[in-house]
Amino acid sequence: MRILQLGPRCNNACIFCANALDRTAPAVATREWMERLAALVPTEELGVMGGEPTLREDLFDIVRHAKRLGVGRIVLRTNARRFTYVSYAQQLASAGVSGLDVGLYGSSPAMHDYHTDVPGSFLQTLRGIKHATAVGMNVITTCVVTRSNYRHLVDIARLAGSLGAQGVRFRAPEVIGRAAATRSRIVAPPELAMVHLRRVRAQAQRSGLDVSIDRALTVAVDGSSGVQAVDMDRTAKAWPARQEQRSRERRSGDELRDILPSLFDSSEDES
Amino acid sequence: MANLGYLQLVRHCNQYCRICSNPETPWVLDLDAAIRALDDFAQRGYAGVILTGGEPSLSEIVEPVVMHATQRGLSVRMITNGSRLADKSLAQRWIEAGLRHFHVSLYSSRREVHDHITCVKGSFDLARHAIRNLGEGGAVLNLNTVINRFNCDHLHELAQLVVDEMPWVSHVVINNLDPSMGRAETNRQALHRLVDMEVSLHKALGILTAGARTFRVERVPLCFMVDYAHCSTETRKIIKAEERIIHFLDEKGTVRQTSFRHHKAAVCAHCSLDPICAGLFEMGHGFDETELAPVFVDPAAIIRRVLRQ
Repeated sequence: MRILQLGPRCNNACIFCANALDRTAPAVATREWMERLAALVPTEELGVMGGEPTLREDLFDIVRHAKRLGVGRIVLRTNARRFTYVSYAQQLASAGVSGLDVGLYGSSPAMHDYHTDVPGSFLQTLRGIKHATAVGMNVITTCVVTRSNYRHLVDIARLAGSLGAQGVRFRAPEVIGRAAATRSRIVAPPELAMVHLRRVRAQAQRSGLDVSIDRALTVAVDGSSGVQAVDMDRTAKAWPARQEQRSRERRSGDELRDILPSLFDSSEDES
Repeated sequence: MANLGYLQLVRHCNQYCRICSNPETPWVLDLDAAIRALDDFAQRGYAGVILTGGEPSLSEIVEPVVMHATQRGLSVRMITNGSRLADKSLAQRWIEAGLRHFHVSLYSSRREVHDHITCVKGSFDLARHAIRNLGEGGAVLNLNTVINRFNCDHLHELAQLVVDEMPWVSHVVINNLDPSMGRAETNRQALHRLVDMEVSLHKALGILTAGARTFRVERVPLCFMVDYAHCSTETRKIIKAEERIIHFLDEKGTVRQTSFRHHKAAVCAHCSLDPICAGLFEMGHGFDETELAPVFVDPAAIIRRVLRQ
């Protein structure tokens, strides 16, 4: 599949977005996408992506132009929110879009909307997937696996299947853009995510759902932790605490009233 | 509810742990003050008292304190580094005196790491002798450990050691490092990232579960122990509305702790476990809030499990 990039503009604000820092870049002008497209053909399959490609009002022109140039199959990488309008789905299908690759990052509104940072996006995306499949498009979903959703991968795959998706792709976040700033918050530990990915595979075998898993999800990202990173010889000396008072002096008896007055006061009140 | 009081008997110690959160002061609890505290715990209906320190086994009033506490109906336990209880006769004497529940601190399955943390060569072997003496003497035995940079990648080895070689240890207490006070503040090499401990901690808790050991984990936010959220000390206290009183032998003095909530990050507002999670102890002082991530599991199942136990 060859990819046509239409610029970073998007109506989601995903926490792991690799394009987030380029959002101010201008939209790709008509002449530019025509030149890019000309350089990609001939191709049997064309992926069209942004940002969010459905925000472009000239998307129909792009799709029709690609078909005129002989592209066989056109797949949009999209959040599918605009497909919440069934008429939009019908028009794009008629123009020649044959499939969608939809970002689905959670099995519940709270989980998905946290990842997109747009309240309500989950319900719009779900409706969009339903409408796309209803007008005959092939849909697969892509889930970027994070610390906040890795425990629910089976549920996410099951949900995608129930909406008519033919396949589910699980992808590791690219640690660039927004994800780079909060890497620890986003990147799931492969050792823990692996269990859930195995369950997804097992479930997919039973249900017939096509599942693909990025290799990066099954490999430990880095090993910079713990004892390996510490030279114990160089840290042999321990420093005293700031408030530490080390001496052979022992303070007890009445002096304890200085630090534990409540212990003595309450008892004296009773007597 | 099972509220427990904490009594620091002394604040000196025969180890020099670089992670110690209660370092040395000159104060020593005498029997008069100890009895006042024990009577207060009993009047409040507390279930028991934990003798701690410093190293409480260095106190000269252990036996009369145990006797008085027992008379007042309080269960008594001691948190110790085990160095003195490596002496079998002392271990036996205290067990016979009524002190039948011990928490022995062991920071690693690796001798060199434990000794490095305590700054005392041979402390690993002494702790293991104490565990054996107390276990064979019939005491209830718990193991305490503190997560830090030196052990955070092999906590699971310690759990495996407990299961394989310490049949007497029934319960393990795992505390995340307190980075803001005590020696961890001046020995910053001991500070780890939460993500550095996550996998090993998860493995450790799995090993303990499979080995039929119970455990509690303190100061670890629930996003780092989702599968074992019901074993978070703070979460259990939040759910059960428990409290604790600690008599510190320093300027903090007597602290009655009824709130077990620490700091939260803005993203915690998205988290389904937010109402029952304490958050991150001393966030920003040593731990980074960008390590916290919301999770979306069902809190009701966790609450039911805590209340059932």
